[in-house]
Amino acid sequence: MALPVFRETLRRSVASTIYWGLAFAALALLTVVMLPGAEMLQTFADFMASMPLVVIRAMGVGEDLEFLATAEGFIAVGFFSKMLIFFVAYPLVMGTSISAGEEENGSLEVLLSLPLPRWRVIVEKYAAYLVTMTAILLILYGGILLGVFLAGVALDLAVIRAAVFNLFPSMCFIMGVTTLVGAYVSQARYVLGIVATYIIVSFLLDVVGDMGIGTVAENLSYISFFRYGDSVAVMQHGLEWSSVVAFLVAGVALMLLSTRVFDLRDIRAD
Amino acid sequence: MIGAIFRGCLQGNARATVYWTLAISFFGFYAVAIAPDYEGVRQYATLLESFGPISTLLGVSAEVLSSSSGFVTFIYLDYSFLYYSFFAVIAAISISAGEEEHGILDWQLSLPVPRIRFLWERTFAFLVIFAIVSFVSGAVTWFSSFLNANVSLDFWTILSASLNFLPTLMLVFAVTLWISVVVRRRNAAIMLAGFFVVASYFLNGLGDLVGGDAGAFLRGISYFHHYQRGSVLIDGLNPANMLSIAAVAALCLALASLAFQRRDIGI
Amino acid sequence: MGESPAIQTENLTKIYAGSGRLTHFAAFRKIPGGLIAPPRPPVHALEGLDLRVERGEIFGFLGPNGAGKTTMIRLLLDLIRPTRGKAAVLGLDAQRDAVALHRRVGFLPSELSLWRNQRADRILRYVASVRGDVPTLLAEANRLAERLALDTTRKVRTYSSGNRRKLGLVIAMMHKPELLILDEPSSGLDPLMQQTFYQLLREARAEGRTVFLSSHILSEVQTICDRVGILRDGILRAVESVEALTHVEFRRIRIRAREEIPAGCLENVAGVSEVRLQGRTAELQLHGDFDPLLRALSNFYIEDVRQHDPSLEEIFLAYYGDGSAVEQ
Repeated sequence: MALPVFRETLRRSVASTIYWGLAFAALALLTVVMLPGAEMLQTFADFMASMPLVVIRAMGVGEDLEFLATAEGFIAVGFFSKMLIFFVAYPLVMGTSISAGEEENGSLEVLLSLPLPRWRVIVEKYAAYLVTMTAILLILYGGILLGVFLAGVALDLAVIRAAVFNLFPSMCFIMGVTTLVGAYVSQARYVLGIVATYIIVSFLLDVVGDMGIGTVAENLSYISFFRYGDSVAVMQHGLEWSSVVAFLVAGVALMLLSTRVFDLRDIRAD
Repeated sequence: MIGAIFRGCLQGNARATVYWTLAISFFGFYAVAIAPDYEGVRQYATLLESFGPISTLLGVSAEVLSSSSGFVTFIYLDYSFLYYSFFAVIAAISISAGEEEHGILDWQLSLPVPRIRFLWERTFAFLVIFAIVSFVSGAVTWFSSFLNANVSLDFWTILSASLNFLPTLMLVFAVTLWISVVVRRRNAAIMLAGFFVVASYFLNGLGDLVGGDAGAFLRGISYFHHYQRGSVLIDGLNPANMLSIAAVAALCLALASLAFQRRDIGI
Repeated sequence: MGESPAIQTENLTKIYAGSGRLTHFAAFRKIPGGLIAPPRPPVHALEGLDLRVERGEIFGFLGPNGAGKTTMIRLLLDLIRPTRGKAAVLGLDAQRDAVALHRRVGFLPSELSLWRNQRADRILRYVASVRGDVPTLLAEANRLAERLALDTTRKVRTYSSGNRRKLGLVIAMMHKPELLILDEPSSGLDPLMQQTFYQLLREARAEGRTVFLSSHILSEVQTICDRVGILRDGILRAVESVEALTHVEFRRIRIRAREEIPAGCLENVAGVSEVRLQGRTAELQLHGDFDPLLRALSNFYIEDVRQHDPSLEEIFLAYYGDGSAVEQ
């Protein structure tokens, strides 16, 4: 039967996909429902305009403050900017389960005794999680639509769709990173620790870099992957296709590299 | 022997304690080391105050934000507390759900130790671990301030901030413990407790943005708001607030203990 | 050209690397009073193993814990890679042709871990879908599950260790593999199920299939195996048929005299060793002829003499006790 690991991974991920999707969707829905009126938004934007640049950047918004006076701007700051770090938690958790999780609990031993090349385990699972990631983002988008329906607010849905879509490449990239680390390190907790550290340091570099204008911090922030997946900027200026393609290519390349790493090493040799 | 589980837990988590201390210390170090000259920001302090309630939208008061230590507050006390929260979740999960799923809990509870003691000694061990991580990281942050002429940090203020972490961390710990004892399955417990942390963080931020009564309500149901990270730097410790949070944590711990005492293990 | 053996290894060696710096750090909490652990030397798990297992036999791999049995099995399945030497399974290179090989092999690990939150029948369906012919494989899986009295509609986490073992056996046998590799297969099975399991193995042999099992349950090996390999400290000490191994040159003798047998009476008697005296009874091990023993006891009135051949257990202990049997 074609792609058994892919199909089985999808089947087993149905419940968790729904949970993750609903959790994100609930928070998105709440943001839309709590959207302040136009007058309040304008006050907010005016207030921000009076702030020094360092504070404006600390809020995670760009320098186009008129954008803040829009409903999309509020959602950009209140949801996408605030939640950025949690979106990549999903590929971190799922990427860990691709090889390291199963290796640690011993089920990989049984799986690899079946007539299945090692690379297929990685590729099929990775592909399956790309599908579940897509499903989660669709559910998230559904949460926003429901919020729009319930609150009766007018949103530029094309902008929202672009922001939601923009999450996919960086999630794909982080899953590639996690898959590679998982292929090399057999213990799930170390994989989680290493990649979580990478994410947190990236996040910190990005947040502090935003505020440290003209300092080393700003220069350092360019090595953070968050710098290139900023949904707020996407909502203001549209998708940055070079970043999208770069993340997707990097994610797949890391995954392919992990198949090689995984193929060369002993399984559960400790 | 009384204290054996406590010591075992401390020893077993020695490595995790080192890693978390390093990670949080890095936060403090980085926040202090790169903090810019805040002269420009100071000029806006009066302006910010004039905006009244809306000035809270950044999650910290203007007074805090316009000081050099305010920058450290914003980075160190805010973001590091988010990661501390996940540490508390991981720690609490390891106590029952994690060990139960790995089959370790069965034989541990076959030892001549009451279940309650098993839970409480480990909880106390994690309180000590949180204190170690918090105080060492605070000390590193304070030492780092000597590297940046723009930042001047008062040792006792940082010490207070470190102490202020503990009741809220224990609250997250106790809530997670309660969840893990009730739901039993490790992954489900992680998911629920993780959502509790993320939703609290999110609601606090959203409450800041929304403002007004609705915003106050959103902040009110988030433990991040009650943690009062900003005010500790200006007004010092708020013992009443800390005791209230500790009392809620104790209540959750009691509920977790009760549930743990009554339920089946490892089925 | 004849049929290739089921398993053939040449100079198969596996050495696990010693600890590095990181491991020092990771190990610090295990060292009382300090953070620095001494370096851990490389572990020679398997050393120059040359083994040939013929098709259609049940081969038992015996050895104490840590002898290298599981390492050997994991090498055969390409889960780990040899430091030196090579292994061929069913005529295929264990490493290069791993996937083709896995089609024809069934495997049960010693510490079986399966997806705890999945129902057993879902796991069987998954394994069948990876192997290919789902309806046929599931039919065979159901037949095996029925024989092993396994309810496959339950989730794995609700299973006892014995039931988990049964599920592992079904997974290993559902595709009627040419070679079954079983690591400590019957641990956790109740005596009734053990008999069913032995019957399944005998049926596999009758169909010309090969079974390679590791065990330290000697009675099990004695009951079902045709040949036995004995492994110690990663080195293959002996390969014998069970019949030959149990047909060794020493016997256990129990003698009862009418009066007490004095201490020292049986010292320095040719061929006599491991003497235990209890009043009128003597138990001993005899190598070679009876004559020296009978002469030594000629002054006693002997009421009873009983002899029994050593069990595989006693032979095993002789091999492992001080290694003397190995040297012989």
